[in-house]
Amino acid sequence: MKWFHISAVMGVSLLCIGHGLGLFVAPPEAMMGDVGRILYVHVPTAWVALVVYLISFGAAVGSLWFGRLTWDATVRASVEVGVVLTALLVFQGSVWARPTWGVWWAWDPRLTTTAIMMITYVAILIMRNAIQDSPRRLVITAVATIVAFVDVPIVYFSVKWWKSLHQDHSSPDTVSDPMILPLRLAAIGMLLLALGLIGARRKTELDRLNQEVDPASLPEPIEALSVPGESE
Amino acid sequence: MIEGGWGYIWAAYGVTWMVLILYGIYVFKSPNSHLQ
Repeated sequence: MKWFHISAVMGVSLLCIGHGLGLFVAPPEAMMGDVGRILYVHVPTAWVALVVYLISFGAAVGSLWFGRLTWDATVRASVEVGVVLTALLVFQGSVWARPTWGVWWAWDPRLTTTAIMMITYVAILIMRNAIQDSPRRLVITAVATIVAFVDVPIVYFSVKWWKSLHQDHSSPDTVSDPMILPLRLAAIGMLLLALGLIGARRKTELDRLNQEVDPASLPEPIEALSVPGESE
Repeated sequence: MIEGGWGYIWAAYGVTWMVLILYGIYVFKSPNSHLQ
């Protein structure tokens, strides 16, 4: 059993406990009533989606810097997991918006920047699949992932910069005490599950890439390049 | 306070768990899983 199996099992377990407490033990939200319980699935999904995109950004920098397939596979895996989480995030938000805002969707800054984020990362996956040449695919995927990350802090701060329909950040500091434990457990569970999914997806992708790519064809690692005159 | 809304709650949680389970099966039981 590998680390990502353990991470995924622990993640699912914590997610079950967090969701169970949020659905059946935590009190109804003061304004929204029971429908406020969507908090325990929506907020952890949002936090972890942004963390996963941060991982993809770090892996993309590593991919460009070292030019190794391990980094390339990590970029591919984390972008894919991020897209799945963002799709879930948008669906949960839409289902939550209907009873609370009266609409399934609004062109609110938080919702709009999140939709842009999802479409951008989906486009990266589509573009990557269309490139046959491995070294080019590694570089273009990494550059596109770094550029796409520009939208992630905009999504995060959108509720601060443009005070609109979407509520401000929810965190253990901004919710009532009985809501903190289920929120924390669900968030940690979702994070461990996401890491497990990235680890497993990365392994499969790396095995596939190793079968199709000649390592000698990859670009030189940046750290191995020398400045003219420095080698003497 | 908004009354009820459990249909929305089950939709949000149900779809989330369904997608996570199906994606988990896809990731952990993919065609290349024999290589793991």
